[in-house]
Amino acid sequence: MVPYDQETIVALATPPGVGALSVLRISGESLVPFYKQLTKTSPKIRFAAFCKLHHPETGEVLDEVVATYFKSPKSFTGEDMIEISCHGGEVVQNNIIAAILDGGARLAKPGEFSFRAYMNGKMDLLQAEAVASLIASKSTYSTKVGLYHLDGRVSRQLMNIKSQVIDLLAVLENELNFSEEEIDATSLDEIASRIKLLRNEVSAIVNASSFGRQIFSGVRVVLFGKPNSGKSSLFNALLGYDRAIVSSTPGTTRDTVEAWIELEGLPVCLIDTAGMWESGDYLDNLGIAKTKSELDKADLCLLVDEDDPTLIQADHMKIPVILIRSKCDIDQQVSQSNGVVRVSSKTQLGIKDLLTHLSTYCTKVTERSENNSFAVMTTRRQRTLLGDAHGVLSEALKQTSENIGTDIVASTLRQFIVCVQDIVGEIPNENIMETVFSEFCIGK
Amino acid sequence: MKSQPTIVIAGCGHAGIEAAWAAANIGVKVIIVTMDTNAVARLSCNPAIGGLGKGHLVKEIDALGGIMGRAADICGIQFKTLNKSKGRAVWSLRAQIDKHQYPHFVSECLISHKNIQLVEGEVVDFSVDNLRITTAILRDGSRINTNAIVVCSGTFLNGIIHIGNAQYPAGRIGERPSVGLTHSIVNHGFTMSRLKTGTPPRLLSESVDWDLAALAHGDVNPRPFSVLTKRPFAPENIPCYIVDTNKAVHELLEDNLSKSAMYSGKISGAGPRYCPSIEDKIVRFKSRQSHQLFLEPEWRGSNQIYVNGFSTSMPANVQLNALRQIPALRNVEFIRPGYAIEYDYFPTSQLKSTLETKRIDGLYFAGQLNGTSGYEEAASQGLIAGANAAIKTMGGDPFVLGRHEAYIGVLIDDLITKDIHEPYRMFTSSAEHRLSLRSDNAGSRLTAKGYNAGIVSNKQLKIQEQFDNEVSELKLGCKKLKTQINGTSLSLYELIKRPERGIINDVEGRKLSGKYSSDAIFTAETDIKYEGYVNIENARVGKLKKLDGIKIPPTFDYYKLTSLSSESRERLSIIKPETLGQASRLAGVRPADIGVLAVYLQSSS
Ligand SMILES: Cc1cc2nc3c(=O)[nH]c(=O)nc-3n(C[C@H](O)[C@H](O)[C@H](O)COP(=O)(O)OP(=O)(O)OC[C@H]3O[C@@H](n4cnc5c(N)ncnc54)[C@H](O)[C@@H]3O)c2cc1C
Ligand SMILES: Nc1nc2c(ncn2[C@@H]2O[C@H](COP(=O)(O)OP(=O)(O)OP(=O)(O)O)[C@@H](O)[C@H]2O)c(=O)[nH]1
Ligand SMILES: [Mg+2]
Repeated sequence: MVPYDQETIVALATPPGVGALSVLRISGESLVPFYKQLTKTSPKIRFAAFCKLHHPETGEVLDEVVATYFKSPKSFTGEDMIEISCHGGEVVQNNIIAAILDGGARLAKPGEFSFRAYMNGKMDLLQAEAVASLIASKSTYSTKVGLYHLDGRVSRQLMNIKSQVIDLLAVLENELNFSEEEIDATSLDEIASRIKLLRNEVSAIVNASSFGRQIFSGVRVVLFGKPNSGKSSLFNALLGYDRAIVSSTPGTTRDTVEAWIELEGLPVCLIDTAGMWESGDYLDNLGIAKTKSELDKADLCLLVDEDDPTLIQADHMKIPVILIRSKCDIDQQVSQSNGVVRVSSKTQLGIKDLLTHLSTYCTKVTERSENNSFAVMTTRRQRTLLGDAHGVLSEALKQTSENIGTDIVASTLRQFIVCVQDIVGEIPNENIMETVFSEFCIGK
Repeated sequence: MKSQPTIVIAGCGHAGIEAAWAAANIGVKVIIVTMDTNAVARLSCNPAIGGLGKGHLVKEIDALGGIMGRAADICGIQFKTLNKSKGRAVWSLRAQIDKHQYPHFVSECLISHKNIQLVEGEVVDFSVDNLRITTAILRDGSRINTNAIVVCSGTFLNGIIHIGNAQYPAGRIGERPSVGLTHSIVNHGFTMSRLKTGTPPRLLSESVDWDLAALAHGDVNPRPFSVLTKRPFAPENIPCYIVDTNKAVHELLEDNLSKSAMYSGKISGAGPRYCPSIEDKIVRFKSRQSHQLFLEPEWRGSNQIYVNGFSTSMPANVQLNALRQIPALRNVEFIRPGYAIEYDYFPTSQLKSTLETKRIDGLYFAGQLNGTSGYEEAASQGLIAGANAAIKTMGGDPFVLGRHEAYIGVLIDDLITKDIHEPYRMFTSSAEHRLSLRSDNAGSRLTAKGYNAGIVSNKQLKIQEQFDNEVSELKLGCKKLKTQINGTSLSLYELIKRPERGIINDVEGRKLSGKYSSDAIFTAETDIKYEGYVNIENARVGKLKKLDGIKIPPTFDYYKLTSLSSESRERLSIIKPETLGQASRLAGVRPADIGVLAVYLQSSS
């Protein structure tokens, strides 16, 4: 993990390369002297000053810039910060960065700015992760949700649930602390009904969060069907370019192939798979195992068949399925059948239709998360923990119904609190911090 | 020849006793200096030992070779397990004690120990050399050269008794306060503060109309506190009595609130919230029509009756009139009215987890002067302080119990990390490992550890090992036994996990358990019932335990960590926690700052 060493760090905050302007960030313990060296003026707090930027040692003028000084703790990192907007172009940027390094700063490591912000209590882990998701976000929509996290609202919602659990726990603990003679006990029914209410609140976030996964990690759409049914061809047609190998030999695709498109602001991952059938070939079977595991992770299945897809048994499928009749250019006479999308990868027939179906699905995802006012968990870590937290409340409910001692129920509720603390990073846990901050790129 | 290392124990209350005992068992020479050798082991307040949370402490003291459990078994006149309607982890034993016999028994134990010398006197000062204790100085001017002093002065330091408007200096009713020692300690840079606690009136037995009070017996077949107590355990079961307060009592007290020492603002120290005075209860629980009072005999055949639940600092005549509103107490007479006592205590953030002060080597504090209340809390601290004082002079590793190992560990960690604004009392809810820290498994948790530290006898270790073997054999037996339930076959082990099922409910189980002690059966059964939950608890708290393993050097400069919030930095540099775990539990230190410290300590080591 990045050590918190208090050194002055610098990095480019805007994407490298050409642009009209570039923004550089410097963060460190006390930067007033450094600001003076660089600009030959005294800083005004949070004031964007138009000035000349000097080399801190030689005094040479490097560029005309806008420099803003932020005083600790009211800055992104919680330290003193200087933000410099300079002219775009790598030469200027590199010159300025080199000068700042000469002045005693060092290059920031990936995630170091956010890491310092976390360390200085400027953001909790949820917010830090939101920054990471923003950086990694593949689509427009996820940016919106990421910003919501950054705002700290999700943390607040969770903390509110946590404090309600603490209230309930206080009741239980109080009763455990005194003997039967001293204090009247709350009925298990009442405790159960309070737990139920809390579990509903957590459920709401859990449900929204499966959309959260779709928003940030993408909607996973698997192409599935018999060998040679035209899956890879359809995959290429949807992408608009040839990504998968197509051939007339059944069993061409063995490993799965993934590609991304964006629909309705959401990242969508298309997954081409090996067909499903009995085979003695070891490699084929391997491909089938992979297909099965892809189906387990998927949100949506495109079931492709050149004859009648409705005849294929798909009852075991736990996810929504779109039935597709492929190669419709060959036999144009095939009758329309209900709920089946007719396509031809050769003539592009029905491809738009299919994309519309997919878009509709994506719109539903965003709508449902909007109804949940964006309170979604963005990373797998958060979702797993929140799932745990939900499970813990269910366990507590079960315990109250089984008449198990309140010492045990109380212990279970304490477990819930730890789950929430873990989600927002209240308990220092190196492993979590390491993974969270390793997903960053430099400058954040 | 090098002389035997010496330790001075200042004060022979419940803390001093266990401190002396543990240190003497380790093998140092122990000189107990106490103000009145006839007042050793006095039960200053209620005639009872144990109770919720406190019963756990007594079991642990016993598991660590202490005196309290054994003494309570011998001097107990009624035993009762409290909280039986709740889970077994919070069951707690309480015993009514014969207040005359108890001090007698304990004094005999102490005096007959070859390493203990009991001296009457008052420690008023001490000398240090290079911040290390060298000498204890008594009021009469005599000096005792010593490696350590364990101060166990209870409620005596600058004690003031309040009864209504009257107040006078005293350490306890009928005893002088200790004056001077506080001054010496404060002169060495310690901070002190004031606390108060109260005790109810004592009634003359003949004046109570016993026919109008309800009988309250103890358990018929109680289990004793100590593993050393002979089985079968068949103590006396002398009854207590219950009466209820009523509207007339409450009104009378309310009308006179201004005369209560506490409510009129005469006492500056904070009182215990958990053992509130009757005037406190009436103000705070206005909706309650009545409060239960227990009338407890103070010794066998006692004419002196303790009114449990009626602690007060009202003037004597108000107390008396209020009680006389209760039918059974219509003609009641006092032997002594209730009173409150106010005394000096030293905020415990000044202590290490061995109860040695951070400031002066060889100076230890234990008991009520650490802001706790209760015999059991005092005794627990005494044991730890005494053991460590002795171990340090012998050059061994500190004897510290973790929060996951014992209530004693929780108690001491709470003391050194939490701000205490009112007397601290042990509660089961303070233990995050509550499900594994049960009363019945105290020996299994602690005895071997105590033996290694030199405070547990070989004899006790053997008894404990025998018990532990029985428990594991029983558990194994339950795994092997198959029984039928509603047509399905499962092991007895699985069956027992269900609520309301036990080893002896089952025919096969009864056969299996025949040759084992009822204690072992109880513990085996409870282990099985709690196993799954304990595992979850351990996984949850294990994370925190790791922080306790990260040491912070005592010289650590928090000011060079500029990223700490100024509030955290200030707290940390005043308190100087020994580990990151302690730091994380300090009030007023932000979790994010602990993250910073964690990273810093690890990257710099
Ligand atoms: C009025 C009153 C009310 C109480 N109320 C409650 C209650 O409601 N609930 C509860 O749990 N507990 C209560 N107790 C507290 C209980 O008595 C104590 O918690 C417990 O006894 C403390 O043990 P200790 O060893 O710290 O001190 P103590 O038992 O007080 O013993 C202190 C001993 O030290 C000796 N000593 C003091 N100073 C010196 C010195 N300088 N040199 C040599 N010897 C010295 C004294 O002579 C005494 O023997 C009350 C006590 C009193 C007096
Ligand atoms: N006429 C026509 N032929 C198609 C169409 N789509 C696929 N084909 C042909 O069908 C054959 C199989 O196509 P693929 O896309 O490789 O089929 P697949 O389902 O991926 O096959 P496997 O990976 O082997 O399971 C190829 O010869 C394609 O040219 C279509 O829309 N019209
Ligand atoms: Mg293919």
